[in-house]
Amino acid sequence: MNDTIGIILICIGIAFDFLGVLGLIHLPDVYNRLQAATKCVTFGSMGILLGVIVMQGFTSFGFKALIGIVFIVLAAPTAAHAVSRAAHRSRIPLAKISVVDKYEEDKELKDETLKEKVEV
Amino acid sequence: MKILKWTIGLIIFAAFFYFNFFIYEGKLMLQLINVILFSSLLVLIRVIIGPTAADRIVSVDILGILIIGLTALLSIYYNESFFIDIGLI
Repeated sequence: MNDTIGIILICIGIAFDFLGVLGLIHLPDVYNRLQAATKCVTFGSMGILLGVIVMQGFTSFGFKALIGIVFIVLAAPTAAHAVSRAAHRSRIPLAKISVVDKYEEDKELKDETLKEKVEV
Repeated sequence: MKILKWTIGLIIFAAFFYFNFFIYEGKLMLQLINVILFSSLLVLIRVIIGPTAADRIVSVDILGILIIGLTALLSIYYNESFFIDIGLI
């Protein structure tokens, strides 16, 4: 029973991994690629490690996989956020079909308010 | 041009899944490991042709994440728990 549930979780994780990589090679833009590739993290490798925990129980496998899950959850979204912010600040252009850029508008608005404060 | 790209990709993926799941006679775990290795091969394409530096950073990051899953599967296949330690590093 545990083996079956574990294999199903591992298969879900591998499907998420494969679809995330497919998005990584197909989408037109850095930010879109990042959005697809982060799915690899949260359900891909985390699903595989959850499957390992369910299959093996709380042995050394389970605890090491638990430490791996905590490490992945803490590190990977932070890295993705930092990469996207740095890419936007270093003026990497968006794709041509993209419609709206809220972060750019927000930065311009912040600059205007700062100028007003300085003038007053 | 777009239709040609879609057709080539569909043929490659269909051929890989057919050979992996119907012709290759290994255990189920080995077939799943093959899917992850194929995914990391696709990531290497983006590492090579990525237009900007941020693309390459994202791709190498995802390559590391895929290696963690690969080591977890290998530890189950060989029934040794120290493979997950490699993924933690």
